[in-house]
Amino acid sequence: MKDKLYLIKEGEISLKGGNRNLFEKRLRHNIKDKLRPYSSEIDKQKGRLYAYISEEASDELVEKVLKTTTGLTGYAKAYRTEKDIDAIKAKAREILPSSRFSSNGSFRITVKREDKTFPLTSHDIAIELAEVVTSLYPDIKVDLDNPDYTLTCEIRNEAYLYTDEEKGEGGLPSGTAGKGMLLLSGGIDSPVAGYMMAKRGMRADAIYFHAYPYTSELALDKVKTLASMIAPYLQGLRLFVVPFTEGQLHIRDKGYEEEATLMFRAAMMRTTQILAEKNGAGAIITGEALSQVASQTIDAMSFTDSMTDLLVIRPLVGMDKEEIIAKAKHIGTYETSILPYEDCCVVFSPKHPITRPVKEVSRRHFEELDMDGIIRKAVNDTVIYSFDANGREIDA
Amino acid sequence: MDLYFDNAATTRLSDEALEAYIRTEKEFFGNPSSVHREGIKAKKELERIRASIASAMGIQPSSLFFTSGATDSIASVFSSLLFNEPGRIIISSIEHEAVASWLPILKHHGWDTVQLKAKGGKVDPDELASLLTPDTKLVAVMAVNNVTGAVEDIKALTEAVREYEKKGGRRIFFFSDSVQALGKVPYDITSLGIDGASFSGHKINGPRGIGMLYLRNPSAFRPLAPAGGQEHGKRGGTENLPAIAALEKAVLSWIERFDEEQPRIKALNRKIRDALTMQGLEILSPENASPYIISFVSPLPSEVYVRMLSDKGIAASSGSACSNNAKGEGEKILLSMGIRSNKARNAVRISFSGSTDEESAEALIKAIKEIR
Repeated sequence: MKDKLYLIKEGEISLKGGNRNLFEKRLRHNIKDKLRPYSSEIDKQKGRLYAYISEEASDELVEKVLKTTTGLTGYAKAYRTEKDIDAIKAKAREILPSSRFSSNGSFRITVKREDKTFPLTSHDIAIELAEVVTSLYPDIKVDLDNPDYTLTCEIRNEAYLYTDEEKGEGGLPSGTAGKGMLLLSGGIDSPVAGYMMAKRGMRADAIYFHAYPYTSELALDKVKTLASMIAPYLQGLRLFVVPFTEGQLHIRDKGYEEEATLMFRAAMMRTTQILAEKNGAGAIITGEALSQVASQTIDAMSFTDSMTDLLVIRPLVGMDKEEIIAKAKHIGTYETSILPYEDCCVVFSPKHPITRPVKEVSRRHFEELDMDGIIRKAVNDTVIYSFDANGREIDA
Repeated sequence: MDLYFDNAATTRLSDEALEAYIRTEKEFFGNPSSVHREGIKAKKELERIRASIASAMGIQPSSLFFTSGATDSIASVFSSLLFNEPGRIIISSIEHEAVASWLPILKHHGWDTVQLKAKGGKVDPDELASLLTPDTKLVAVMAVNNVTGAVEDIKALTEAVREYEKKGGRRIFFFSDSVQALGKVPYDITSLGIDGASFSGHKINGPRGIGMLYLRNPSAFRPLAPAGGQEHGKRGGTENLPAIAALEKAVLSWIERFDEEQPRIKALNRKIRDALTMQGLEILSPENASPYIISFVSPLPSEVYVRMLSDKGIAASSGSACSNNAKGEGEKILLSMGIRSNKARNAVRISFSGSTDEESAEALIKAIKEIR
């Protein structure tokens, strides 16, 4: 079977020392996993990964895989041809029209002649290929130092041609930094928080607190869609849907109204900790940003932190809404997040929520609510949905 | 037993309407504008149906035009205003969005747009009279409100307008969106003195995508574009003949069964109202409302309550969204009737049709008792 070749550039991994191999292995595994059922082989040569991927996998699929895999900074499709200057020129003529090359701008040719037996020198090859470029784009200029477009030719066991690389996500391969539990609400922020931790190499499962009939089935569908959208960055994830109507009603009926949101968040932390311990997660990830809402003040977050022994990671804490929205648009979750299905019904939101809780007092109030039984029941009734590394829902 | 209580939103297509649809689509497939035999056959069928519906409604066939629905009927009237010198337009503050959404457009084109209060759902003829000006060109008040079923005193309102005209004023076009009226409350266009009215097929067990426009004096009406000149130039586009045939069955059935259905539905309405009152739930629909609609204040945000009913197999309508920042259309209408926001947010509408029976009402009452 013929393969197609992609050159992949690692980013931060190349700064790693003794454990670099581990990161590279994970990156290769992540790419291969997403490409399945199509076969692929990934070699490393001269600081770059060479991915040989079955011809049967469409370019579109391969590019989607590479764009959503964390730990690589760029990739380019390379075209193979025989080691013959006429064949190389013909291939260049074939691939340039679908590249970014155009008459406005400048270019350079980069030649890497690993096979020293090839009869032409690097310079000779560059001149031959430059002729091809200028015949296609008569007004294009040469700029060796700062070109707009680059055509690269590598002479190895075969000849490879490729033009400019596409940018990748960068960061570290998901699966190299432990696992977290992501609180996924259906809003704009939490999917972005999951994505950001994926870029730091984490894996994650997501948790959604469902209060049917106070929140609709459509709200749950929306959260499932968001989970499937961030699944590729996280190399797949599970979504734990915790039925929490009873807990919400309990807090509403037995607690202080202005503390309702805080008590709910405290219960979420407790519930998440139980599910994290069961599922091997060592941290809780939330989409909170400082002062965005009443429950996201320093005092409020400090209180909710105190309800769990796990590390609480808030990757968005210092970001403003515009920055978060830009990232949500980048990963494609924004349009879904703004659909008008509330993640929390207005009946549970206090009119005047407390913003500066005293930790000890609120903790006492939470303990007085005596929610252990309700939480245990909610955990037992939790429904799990699974999404593979390509975001497809699979049987759990 | 029919547990579908959202008939003010849409109704089931009746079997006879569906049969008429299928038969007409097969038998009369020609374009009524074509001059060959199939075209002429279709044209004849179209005009037969027009005459049949007009006769049932007590109007001239030449006053009846088929459209794609009430929204389309309304749009052809309101868009035609754009040809005129701007003047004053008065609509009630409880109109459906299909009417109300024209106000900002007309305002943009220099019209003086005025909204009539509707305290308790009722428009006051004296208030209307006080707002009429020499440059008033159109007044629009719906016949039956879709949220509470409140029936407007259209006759008194048109009389107020005619009285003003007598003072030497120009002719004022009185439009009445009558979607929830036809077949459901006593409704006689001619004696009401309406100049224009809109109707919808799918509210009376007809198909979606078909409606009617009534124009008392069609020759005075110039649509924004006559397009292909169909419907005497009032509404272009190839006529949807199968849907028109199905609509005929729907209209005739509602009008023919009116006398026997009214007391039956009124009794069911009374029964449900009593049960709601027994539960301590406030009824928002006025006493003289359409018997087919009851709005009441549920103990929960309306969306939540409707989901709970839905889980019991019952379809009802929520006027509001379970949200901090979005207001539902129904909620807005209730607020402009002067109903407090905490009640409007919990308002639930149930609406009946011919297939609502004693058993359906019992099941609904049982469900209402179970949800607290």
